[in-house]
Amino acid sequence: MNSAPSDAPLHVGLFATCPVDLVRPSVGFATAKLLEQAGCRVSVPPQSCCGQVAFNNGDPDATRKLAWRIVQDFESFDYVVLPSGSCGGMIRLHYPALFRGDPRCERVERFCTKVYELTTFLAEIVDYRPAAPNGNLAQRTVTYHDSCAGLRELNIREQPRRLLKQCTGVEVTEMRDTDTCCGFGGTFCVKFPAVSNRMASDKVNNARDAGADLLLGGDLSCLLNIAGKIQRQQSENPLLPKVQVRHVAEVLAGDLDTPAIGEGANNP
Amino acid sequence: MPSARTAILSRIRQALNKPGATTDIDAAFAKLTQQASLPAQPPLSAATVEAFHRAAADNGAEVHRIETLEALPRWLAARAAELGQTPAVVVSPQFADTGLQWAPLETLERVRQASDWGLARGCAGIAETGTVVSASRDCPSGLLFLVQRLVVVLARADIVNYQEEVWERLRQRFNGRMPRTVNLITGPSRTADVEQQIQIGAHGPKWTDYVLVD
Amino acid sequence: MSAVQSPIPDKDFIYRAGDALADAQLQQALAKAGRGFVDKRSAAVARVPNFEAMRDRARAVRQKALRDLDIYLLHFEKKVTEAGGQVHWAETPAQMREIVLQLCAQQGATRATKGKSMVGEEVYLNEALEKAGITPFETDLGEYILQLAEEPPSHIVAPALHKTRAQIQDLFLHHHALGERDLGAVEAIVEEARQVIRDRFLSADVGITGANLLIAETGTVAIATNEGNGDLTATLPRAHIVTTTIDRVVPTWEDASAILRVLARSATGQPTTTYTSFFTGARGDTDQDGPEAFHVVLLDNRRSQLLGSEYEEMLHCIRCGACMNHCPVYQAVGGHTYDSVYPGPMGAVLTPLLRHRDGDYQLPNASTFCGRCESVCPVRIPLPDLMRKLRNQEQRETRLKGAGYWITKTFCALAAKPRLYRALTGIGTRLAAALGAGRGRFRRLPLLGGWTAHRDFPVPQGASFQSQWHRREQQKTTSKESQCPAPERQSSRASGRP
Repeated sequence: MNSAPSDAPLHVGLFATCPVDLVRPSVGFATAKLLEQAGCRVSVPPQSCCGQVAFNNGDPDATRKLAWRIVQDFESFDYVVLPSGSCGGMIRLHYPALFRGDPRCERVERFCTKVYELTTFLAEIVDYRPAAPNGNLAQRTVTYHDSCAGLRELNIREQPRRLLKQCTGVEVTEMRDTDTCCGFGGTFCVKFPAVSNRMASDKVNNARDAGADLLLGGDLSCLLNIAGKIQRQQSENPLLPKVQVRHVAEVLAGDLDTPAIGEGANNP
Repeated sequence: MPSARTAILSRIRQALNKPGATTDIDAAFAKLTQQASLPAQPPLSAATVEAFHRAAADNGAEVHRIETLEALPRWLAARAAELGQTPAVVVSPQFADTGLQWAPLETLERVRQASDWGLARGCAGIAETGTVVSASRDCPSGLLFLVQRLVVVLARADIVNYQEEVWERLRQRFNGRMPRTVNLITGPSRTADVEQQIQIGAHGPKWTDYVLVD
Repeated sequence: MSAVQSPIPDKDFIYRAGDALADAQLQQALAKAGRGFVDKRSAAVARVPNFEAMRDRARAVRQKALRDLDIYLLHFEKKVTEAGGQVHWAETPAQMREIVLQLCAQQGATRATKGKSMVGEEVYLNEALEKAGITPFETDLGEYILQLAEEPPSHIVAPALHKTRAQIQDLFLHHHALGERDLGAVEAIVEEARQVIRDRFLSADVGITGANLLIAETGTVAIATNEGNGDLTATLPRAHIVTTTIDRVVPTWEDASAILRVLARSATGQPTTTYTSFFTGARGDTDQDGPEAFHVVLLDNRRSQLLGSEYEEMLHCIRCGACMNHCPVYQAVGGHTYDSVYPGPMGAVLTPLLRHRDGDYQLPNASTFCGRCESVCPVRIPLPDLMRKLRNQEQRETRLKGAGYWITKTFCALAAKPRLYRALTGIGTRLAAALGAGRGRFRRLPLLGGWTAHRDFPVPQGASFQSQWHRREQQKTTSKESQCPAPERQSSRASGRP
């Protein structure tokens, strides 16, 4: 547990990440709420993309441009928090490597040490423990998808489970092969659709086999993929048991009213 | 037109930023390997011989014990009777000057049929993996693989904890010039090439007996 | 086994993947194999407390070996020669084939037994032998099955992994003229292979094997097998030929142990293979048996060019197969989809580097960078990083960039201006939300056909997060007298544990 030296709250720069920013802002608001509840002051400077798509598709120069922009815009905060293991890993692990041999390297490395994925930040840096749980997940069978980058680049596994237990009392029902990729993989899912579809189907089947009616995760890109697959299967076979998909931030913040991922007001 | 050898070596040196060819290879090699690194070995589950016993059994070998080498022929005959077999036993030349008599078992100098047994004397045992070691100076390597049941006799004192200790022994015994073949054998042959199901008895022996002599 | 090339060379990875996903028998075989390998490795690793230390040691050995590769290769050559053997050097696959054929001709060979050698596959050796009137007899059960089926291997450790028991049974019934018998059980299949191949061991003129390791200290070739076929191939004929590559060498026997400890655990979940055999030179006066002639053929085929390059770590590979066993892409489509001797993650890196054929760049692209391969690699090769480097290389080499390139470029140019990005995406997301209002998901999307072919796409909730936040903050500023929550630039503030 780390406290600021004075009564001044930690000033956190919230980096929403593209999927949250563009497709599901409620995750961003949930993230801000959790950080404020933990006693942080939250700011959201103008932001865009961490550059992962350029990085993984052969354009390290474009990536560096975006990375440097982010370092400059966010380095003055005490911490930078992202509701994503994949973008978090991109910044923490890959940014320093991108600037190796570059005169800006030291500044980039210093910046990266204050970048955290949300559940790690809440569990390890501020030890977030709300006095009363934000939401009620009783009656739900909850399973958790570990995104590959979060798992392997940032060692995120136990933190969200611990937070869920602490904050909502829910014990995660583990599905089979939690550490196997869901098939998103950035441009992979559109370049190799058949293989991606197979991986997504396997993931969804695992969730159903575990008896889950709610699937959570810390990476919206994975969750969009999984939810999209669940809903396509559901529309083709309405008899399949229903599985809702949400970002863990929303659940921790108690936001269960917003339609789950892929659900519409008219189309749950 | 440089030979393939010259071309390959010169590309390697270039890639490694080496100024030129090394003249004294033995000296260069000795210098590079003078400092041995600490190996990363798994801890043994028990004392040496007990660990050997367990590991060998885990890998499908059967371990037996006799008090002296003289007891071997009796043990062998009893083993055959126990299994209801009358095998011909290919006996390694290692046993030639021991004076041991193998009757009533039929013995051969070379493998004749697939159902023959083989009898060899290992030069070492490795407790880490339940492995026996044989050198082609002592026993023909072919014998170890062409028989259906392989019996390896081993002195308890020759069992060491780890592979690396065997290497030291080999260096000392063979003075740097290794025999044509050194075999490390851990149990009977097997394959998993059909639906990943392990099947014992591939091309090498289907059964192995290790006989430890006190 | 004859031609190893894909029968339809212009079909690409995506096409072959589609076929593989629809192949019920292949899927059945892959499901069994995937589960088995993963569970066995995991159990083997759990049984030792210091597997991570073993990995570190193995990696250090590979690094050490490459750092002075010239010295170790020359010492190896010297020692082989002193032991009555010969070392031959081949720059290209063609040279290797030529050398092996010459060596066989020297022996007047017409029958050659073969131990499993991926290098032999890499240079299409069997085809060349057959053309020269020499019959190659594969002795590894998996390779033998493939020889009957006239198919290339689909895995570097279990080459016939893609075959079901029923398919193998059919092959044996068809090819072995042995009359009526029941090959329903695995035991029966293996017993039959044992009998058929035994004669071949005994009547071979030459034996051709690969090598797991070349030990520079004594000029020794180390081969690890479970079946014992490697030994029967290496020992019984009058000549033993080893087809291997320049990167297989390790300095000492202790270094070999470091590799062997992680090899079997990573490949098949065993602490050791049944047989680890060390072959030094030709039969000497004091040896009880062994071949009169011993030859090691060292192939380069671009490996010397990888040395000292950004891809050097790929040369650390010890060919355990763990990466492909754990790869979700490989598990879905199997090895033939890669159309290479080296499939899976290690093949996705090695194939374009060694071969540079059209379509090879698809392999490093067919990855989600999930990182599972790297996490199980016994010598810690950063496979996703190497695949990424290949994607960078591909971009540099491609003159006519595709639509994806330009879309990404445009997006990045916009993203480099966050305020403009915020303004434009704020509008765009509101439009998209309006289009999908109430529905929650799109069933079809322009430009994202690959996604929507199989999945729905969730509709954006409304205006982008940052545009909403920005508007909220602006309202706070205009409606209250209190300070605007702009980020402070206090560099002296302690920031807690970084």
